[in-house]
Amino acid sequence: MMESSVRLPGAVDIVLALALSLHFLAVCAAVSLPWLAAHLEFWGKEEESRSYWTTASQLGEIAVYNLGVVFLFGVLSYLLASMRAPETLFAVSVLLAPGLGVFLMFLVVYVGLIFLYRRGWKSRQKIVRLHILNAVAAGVMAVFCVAFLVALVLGAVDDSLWPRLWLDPWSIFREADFWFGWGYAIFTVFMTGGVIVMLTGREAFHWDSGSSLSAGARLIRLGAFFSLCAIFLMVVLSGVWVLLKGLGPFRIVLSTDRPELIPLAVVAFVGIVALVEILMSVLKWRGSAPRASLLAAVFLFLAVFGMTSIFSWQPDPKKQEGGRAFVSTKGDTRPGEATR
Amino acid sequence: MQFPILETPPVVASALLSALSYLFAVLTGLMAGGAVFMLVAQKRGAGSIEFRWNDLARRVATWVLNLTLGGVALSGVSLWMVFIFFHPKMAAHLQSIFWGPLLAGWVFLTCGVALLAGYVFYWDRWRDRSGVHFTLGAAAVVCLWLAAAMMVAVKSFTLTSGGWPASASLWRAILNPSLVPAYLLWAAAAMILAGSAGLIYARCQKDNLWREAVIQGVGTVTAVAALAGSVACLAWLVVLSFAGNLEGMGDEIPPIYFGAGVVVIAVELSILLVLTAVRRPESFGNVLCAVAVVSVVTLVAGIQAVQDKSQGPFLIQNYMYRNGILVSEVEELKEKGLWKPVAWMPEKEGAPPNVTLGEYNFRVQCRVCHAGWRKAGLSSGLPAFKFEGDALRYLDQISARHPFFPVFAGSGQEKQAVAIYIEGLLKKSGVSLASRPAETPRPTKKKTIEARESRPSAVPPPVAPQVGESSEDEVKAKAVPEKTLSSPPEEGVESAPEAPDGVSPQAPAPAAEENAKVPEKEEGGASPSSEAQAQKTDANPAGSSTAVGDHSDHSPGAAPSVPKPAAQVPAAPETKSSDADAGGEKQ
Repeated sequence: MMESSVRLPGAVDIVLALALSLHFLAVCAAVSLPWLAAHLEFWGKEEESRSYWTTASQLGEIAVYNLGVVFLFGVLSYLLASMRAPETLFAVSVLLAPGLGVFLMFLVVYVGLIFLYRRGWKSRQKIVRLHILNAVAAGVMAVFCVAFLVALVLGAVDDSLWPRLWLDPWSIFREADFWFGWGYAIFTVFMTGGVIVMLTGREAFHWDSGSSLSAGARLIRLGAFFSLCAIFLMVVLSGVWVLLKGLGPFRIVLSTDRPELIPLAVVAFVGIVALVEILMSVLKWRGSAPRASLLAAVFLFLAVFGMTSIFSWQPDPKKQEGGRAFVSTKGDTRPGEATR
Repeated sequence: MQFPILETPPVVASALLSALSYLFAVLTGLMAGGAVFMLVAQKRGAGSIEFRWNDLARRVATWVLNLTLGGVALSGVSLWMVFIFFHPKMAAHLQSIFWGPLLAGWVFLTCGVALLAGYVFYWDRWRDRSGVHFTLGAAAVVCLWLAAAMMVAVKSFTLTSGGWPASASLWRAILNPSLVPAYLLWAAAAMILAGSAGLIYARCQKDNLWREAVIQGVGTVTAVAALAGSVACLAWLVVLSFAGNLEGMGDEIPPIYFGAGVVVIAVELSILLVLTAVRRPESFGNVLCAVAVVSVVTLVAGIQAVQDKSQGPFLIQNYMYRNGILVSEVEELKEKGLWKPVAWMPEKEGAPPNVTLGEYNFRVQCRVCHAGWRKAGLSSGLPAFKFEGDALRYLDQISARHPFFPVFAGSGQEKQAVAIYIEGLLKKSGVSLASRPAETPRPTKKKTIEARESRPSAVPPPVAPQVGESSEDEVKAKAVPEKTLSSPPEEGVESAPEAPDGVSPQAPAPAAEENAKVPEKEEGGASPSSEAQAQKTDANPAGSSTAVGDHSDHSPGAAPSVPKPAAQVPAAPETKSSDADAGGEKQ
């Protein structure tokens, strides 16, 4: 009988972390892009500003192509993770099947709304409010989709939840960890959205751009403010989490048998600190804004990559209570055995 | 490896999977075929003064990109997720076999999408460098078609695993016997699908000259593809036939009929297009367009039906049965049993999970096709067993009676537990099972007597009954052997006065013989040869299909068995049936 888990080379870990990071950022962008477009369209209507409409239209277009990144890197992440530990990911997929079925329906609606929004620019003049609502609804659908993805990840990393999921698949949405995870995801959505606004404002500094420089600079500052707020909210949430959960997870990272986790933790920390520094400098000094936008995007990616790597490169599941087997290098670990 | 089971009626599961597969096949075909038409239109526009060919190519490119990002990606993800819900073990094994090709497929798909996006975005910028632009588009098409080839390889492998189960070589899995015809058929179907979409587009054009030009161009490519598709379908059917996939299951329509239908439709479509769209494009009106589109839709559905129905008892041919049990692990499971502790079942201290052994085995082995049986009250879906013990004998004879069924993989104790579970379902649905009357030896036929003596008696198997079973049944079960010993019935006559079918005790021998067979709902579907084989197996329980070595308790020579209490069954996870039902229904 052949094994159903694949012994992939260790270097695939980094590919998996990269794919997860890109997928996560693309999912965050999938929420924030339609909402940003809706905001800009609304302001454009209020202020009679054509440049805002142009930017909103571009964001709607980007949201369509962002679907490709979401799907492609989502598929790659799921493929690699399930090759490592099919018992874990497929089992939790079946356990959460009703929820994931609803997730697929939300996804279909989201994709439909995104395409509708892009198409709606042609006949927007008559139904501006409806067009804005279309984008808002798309963002709401994406937020629900994020909730289901968080549930899937939570179910995969914590198999002590499985007996409860077996009896009631919806019970995962009553877990405190789910709400923390969803909170982090929402704040990352705001952070990503802020950086996207900064990058949008950066476009105004191109010589062939139709937008004014002041409008671009305003967008950059606005994006920086959003991102900074999101980071501070994340810090507060982390504080609450530490108060409730203690320092156990940090000890696991420090006492791990995988030494590469430490530099990755450093990368994540440096990424966050540098991001805060860049955002504060943008708000305080208002200088070199276009370059700062690009740097902010780079540091955001580094921070997310570092966090995702720590999260996905779990230490040996056998050494952990609860038998965490998600994307473990021990492909032959049976979740049922890990807990018994 | 054990996975949780999603309890849905098999009709829902198969309908959902078939619908999503169909949708995915159609969208993928439109994408791949559309990409080729895009290049054809661009090439034609480059050598023509008609600028609309170039516009058409650009429009098709945009459509293909949107279709890929929206439709294909969404339907593919949905199909894969739903497939995992219903067949997680198959998905895990397919991934472990095809992990390299799957990753390569992902790379090809990503490159294809990226190149296609570049092809669309740089349309104006590379207007003067049409050669480079065309090459970019061609590279995108090649990548998309290579990604599709990986998908077709996996699908064709499940139908014809060829020499893979023996060698476990990846190349044997990829280059399986039906790969080439399946890929050619897929390619033809993709071109036909995109062609039909092109014909609809052409019909919507107002300019007569332009409309006829498009109809003629698209119609020619589609007609050729339809003809090639019919040839590829024939080749595919021949390969499937040699692999033994076209025999059909029971009373279902054999897949060969669907295959023949596909060939006929493809030829019909080809002739229709040659006679109208190619030779007289001006006569290609809305009615003919509708006929062509319906033909294409039916053709793809026919291909889908052949794929669905030609799997036989396997999910992966000669490797994995429909219920997810591997062919290679059957013997081991017969020895060690199927039940294993799993992580998701709630377990209190010292207590086993809250499903009975019979229910657990039924879920794992039978549910995939007989999920409807679990609902009490659906007596029409349940087998027409008349006597206690029939279920166990039916399970013993299952391979002989239904060669297309998966082999029962489980210990003897588990088989008995499943039999009790099925009988419990029958009782829940209001069917009363009579005690099987003892069968008397025939003095004239020595062999038959010996065989009957060695056959399991009518006494219920000595496994713990389900909680809630009436004590009357136990009394009956105990009473039968005594009755048999005290007053043997007449030779060859069923001596069951309480027989539910109203057969009198003095009924002639042939009728009694018929009653002695295990009755079942699907009896009409079994072939005469399998019936004969079944009777042969019936007479010789030590045959290959029933030689589990676990029925010594049932022989007439054994002491009348007393049902054991649940606690005495060592590995059987017996608990309250109400709990089990509650847990089962929630999944």
